[in-house]
Parts: sequence; structure tokens; C-alpha cells
Amino acid sequence: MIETYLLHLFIIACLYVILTTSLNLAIGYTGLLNLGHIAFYAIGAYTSSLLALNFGVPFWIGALAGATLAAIVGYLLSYPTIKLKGDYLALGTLGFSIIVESVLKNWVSLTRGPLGLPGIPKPSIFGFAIDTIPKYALFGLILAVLVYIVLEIVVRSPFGRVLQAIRDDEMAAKTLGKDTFNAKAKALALSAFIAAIGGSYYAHYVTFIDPTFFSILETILIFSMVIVGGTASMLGSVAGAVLLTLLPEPLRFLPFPSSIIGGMRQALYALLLVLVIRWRPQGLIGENTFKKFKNGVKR
Amino acid sequence: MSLTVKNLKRSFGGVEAVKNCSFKVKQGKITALIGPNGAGKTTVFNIITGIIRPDAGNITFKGEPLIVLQTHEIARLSIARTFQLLKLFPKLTCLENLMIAHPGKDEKMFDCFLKPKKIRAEDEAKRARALELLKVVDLERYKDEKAGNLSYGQQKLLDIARCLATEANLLLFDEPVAGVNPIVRERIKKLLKELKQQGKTILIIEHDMRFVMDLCDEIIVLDHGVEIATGTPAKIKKNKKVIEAYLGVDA
Ligand SMILES: Nc1ncnc2c1ncn2[C@@H]1O[C@H](COP(=O)(O)OP(=O)(O)OP(=O)(O)O)[C@@H](O)[C@H]1O
Ligand SMILES: [Mg+2]
Repeated sequence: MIETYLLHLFIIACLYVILTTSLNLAIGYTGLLNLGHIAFYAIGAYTSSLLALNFGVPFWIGALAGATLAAIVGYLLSYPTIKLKGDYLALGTLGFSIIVESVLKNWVSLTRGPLGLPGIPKPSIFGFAIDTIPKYALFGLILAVLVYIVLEIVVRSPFGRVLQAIRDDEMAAKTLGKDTFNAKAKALALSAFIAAIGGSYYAHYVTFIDPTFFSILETILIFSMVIVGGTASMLGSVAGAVLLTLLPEPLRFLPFPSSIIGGMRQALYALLLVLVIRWRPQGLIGENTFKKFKNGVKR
Repeated sequence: MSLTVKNLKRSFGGVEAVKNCSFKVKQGKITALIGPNGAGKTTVFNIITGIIRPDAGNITFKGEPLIVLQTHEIARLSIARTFQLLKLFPKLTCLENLMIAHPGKDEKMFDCFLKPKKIRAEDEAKRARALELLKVVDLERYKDEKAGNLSYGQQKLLDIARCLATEANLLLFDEPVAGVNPIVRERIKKLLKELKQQGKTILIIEHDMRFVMDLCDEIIVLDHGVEIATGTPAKIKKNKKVIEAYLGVDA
């Protein structure tokens, strides 16, 4: 029993590592204040679930289809939003995620709306059924490590250097001949692709999804994980994801109804976020994002 | 002729920053663009590099029209610049600031997986070249320091080095020696002369007249957004209009 609970936490931590590292690629490395990450996660979850439920499509094909769709949507989304700067980009991507959530709620003939999708099959990869919790935990570990390695290689590559240059000073990057628009669109597409993989991974684990899984609260959570862990550090994102997954767990054992505990959980995230921004703005591991604003002299 | 600017116009609200400005920059020479504060010099640089669109006028570089192009496309025609207000990448190291300027292939996202060996070799070459340039500006010690942590003068030098790292043929320097101590100033002067020897075309904005008169083959004077004189340093020094507008009597 206790092992099942711990393995469940491990599986969830792996999910958040996938979501947080991929979001950090956009926010921490490229400087894109993306508040729509959860929409890509939703696209992945719904695509592979619907393909599996309606057509019996195997997990890995469904997951790749969802990820590809998310990447295309991310790339297209960059056209209207990437020319926007800072706050406007944040609003644009936030609006996008609200649109996706409302499509999930209202396109009832496809998504069953608020009723959600029950009975999503557990994955089976090349005949190997991932049907028990320990197997799923191992699967999650493999996925998370894979995502981590891919992202770490990308951000250390010349392409990753261009992304960081764009974050620091886009105009200067342009005068060095960098097609910054294209680089940002690709970074957003890759970030979306990985988030969608996370969505499929989660949907086929819980076997039931509904639109409430993909609300703004989820966005705030993974955003907090990035900030607490430290922007522009993949290791920081892993730390942030694990910490914020585990931290509210003890609340579960308090003698309160679950509605109160849900609120306390949000309050705990908010408190941690405030503490980190006040006393350790660079996050647990990571570069100092807020320094730029503190001593505004350096440009 | 390397760069030709013709009838350039640009206003900001009511301010006519550049009005009907025309001049030419000769291939392989060092040309200075001088004039009082607010004369429109930096704005001209911004228009050449595609950062600001002109209201009217034309710019050609080696016969190719520039104003229809975007900033990164202009840069790829082998034009590089520095900025009056520094625009380094503060969170990248000094070395990375130079490596990124290297005119290698466009950095593709998946190249690091598809051809890791080639990428690594290319990056090594960039690193070697960047180290050489850091030596030239005497910042070798700071190679792994974040650019944002350098002093103003050091950042100025790094910006110049980054401009050189592009290996561009036309180099635009916006006040390269403003706020820089005399020793470093001499070093920059020497560096610019060497670049000329290598066949680069250089256009500098600078208020330090001794520096300009010493270094430049030709001077273009802007005042209130118009070109008022062009000529050799000797000629410009004696030009009445220039003395009135900018140099003063005792220059
Ligand atoms: N982006 C902008 N928006 C509004 N006004 C601008 C902008 N850029 C320049 N100006 C205005 O255009 C005029 C020319 O500015 P510019 O920076 O080109 O002068 P400059 O010759 O480089 O001066 P300095 O020698 O002081 O650097 C100034 O009046 C300035 O306020
Ligand atoms: Mg200026």
C-alpha cells in the first residue's frame, strides 16, 4: 500500500519533470513568457486518448501524433504571438490555453465535454504492456531521463546559445544575422512537443481525463516549479518539479476535508513562490533572473 | 563604392531625426560620421542595419538595396555593428558572446543530434577564433566570466571584439572610444588600422576629434539630420559650416 502511494508520487514527479523542463526551454532559455504550456499538455492527453478509445491506435503512435499536433500548433501560435513582447506574449499564450480548455469543455461530440474520457487503455509498447504501477514508474523514469537529456543537449548546442542570446538581447542577436523569429518558433514547437508527450503519459496512467485537469491552476503550478527550481537550469527544473510534487503531500494526512486541503495546497505553492522570489531569486539551482530588474543599470 | 545612402528621411513624431541625408562610404577606407548630439548619426546606423525603417530614401550595399531586408538578412550580407548603448548578451560568458557572432552555418535545432561530430568541430573552431579575439582586446582572463559582470570599458571592448568576430566586411562602430581610457583608446585605434589593412570597410561615429582626425581617411558631417560636408580630415577642419555647427573655432 505504502509502496503504491510512493510509486504514484514518483510517477507524478516524472510527469512534472517533463512539463517543467520543457517549459523552462521557453521561459528560462528563450525568454518567452509562455503561460499556455498546459494547452500543449492537454492536446497531447486528448489526442492519444481519443485515438486509443475511438480507433484502438497504439499508445506510442497516439503519443507521437499528439506531440506532432502540439508542435505544429506551437509553431503556428508563434506567428501571432512571438512578435509580442513580454507581458503581451504572456497574455496571448494565456488566452490560447483558455481557448483550448473551453474547446475541451464545449466540443461535446468529440471530447464528451465535462464528462471527460473514461477507460483510456494502459499503454503497451511493442507488445510490452505497461499495466502495473511499478512498470509505469519505470516507464516514467525512462521518459523523464530521455526528455532531460534531449533538452540538456539542445540548450548546450549552438542553437541553444542562440536562444539564450535572444533572451538576453533579441535585437543584438538579429544584428549578428540570427533569424530570431524562426529560432523562437522552433523552441516553442519543441517545448510543446515534449509537453504533449507528458500529456499522453499522464492520460494513459490515470485512464480518465476531463477538462478540469488542464485549468489555469495547473499552469500556475508548473510555472511555480520553473521559478522555484531556477530559470535557465534544467537541473533546477527537475528539483522544482520534485519539490513541489512532494511538498504538499503531508497535508493529505491532516484531518480536514479535501476541499480545504486543495486550498491549502495552492496557498503553500504561493507561499513558497513568494519566499523564493524574495530570498533566492535565482531559484534553488539557476541563474539570477530577477537581478536584471533589481539593478536596472546594466543593459 | 561600398555603401551608398541616398535621400534618407526618418522622423519620430515631430522630430525630424534624419532629413534628406545622402553620403557614400568608400570600400577599404575608414570613414567617420560626426556631428553634434542629436544630429541623427545613430539613427542612420539603425536604418542601415534594418532596426528602424526609413520614411523615404534608399541604401545600397555593393549594389544591393538594403531597406527591403530584415535586420538578420542585412547582417548576413556581411555588415556588423556595435551599439552606442551596449547590447551584449549579459548572461552569456565573454567567450560565448564572441562564439555566437561567428558567421558559421545557421544554427539548426537538431544538428546536435544528427551530426554531433561536425557541430563539435565547428564549435571548436569558433572557440579558438573567439579566444584569439579575446587576446586582442586583452580580455582573455575573463573568458568564462558573464559579460554582464564586466566594467563599462571592458564591455565596450567586448562589443568591438564581437563585431570583429562576425568577420563582416563592413563594420559600423557607434562611439567605440567614448568613456574609454587613453591606453585602451590607442589600442582600439591600432586595431582599426589593422582592420583597414585587412581590407575591411569601416564607418565610425565618434565625438573624439583627435581620434577621428588621426584615424580616418574621410569624414562625413551631419547636422540636424542632413549631410553638411564631406572630405578629408584636413579639409573638414577648415570647413566654415562644420566649424560653426560642430567643431568650434579652436579645433
Ligand atoms: N527610437 C526613437 N524614438 C524617438 N526618437 C528618437 C529615436 N531614435 C532617435 N530619436 C531622436 O532622433 C534624434 C537623433 O538621435 P540620434 O540618436 O540619431 O542622434 P546622434 O547623432 O546619434 O546623437 P549622439 O551624438 O548624442 O549619440 C534625437 O532627437 C532623438 O531624440
Ligand atoms: Mg548616437
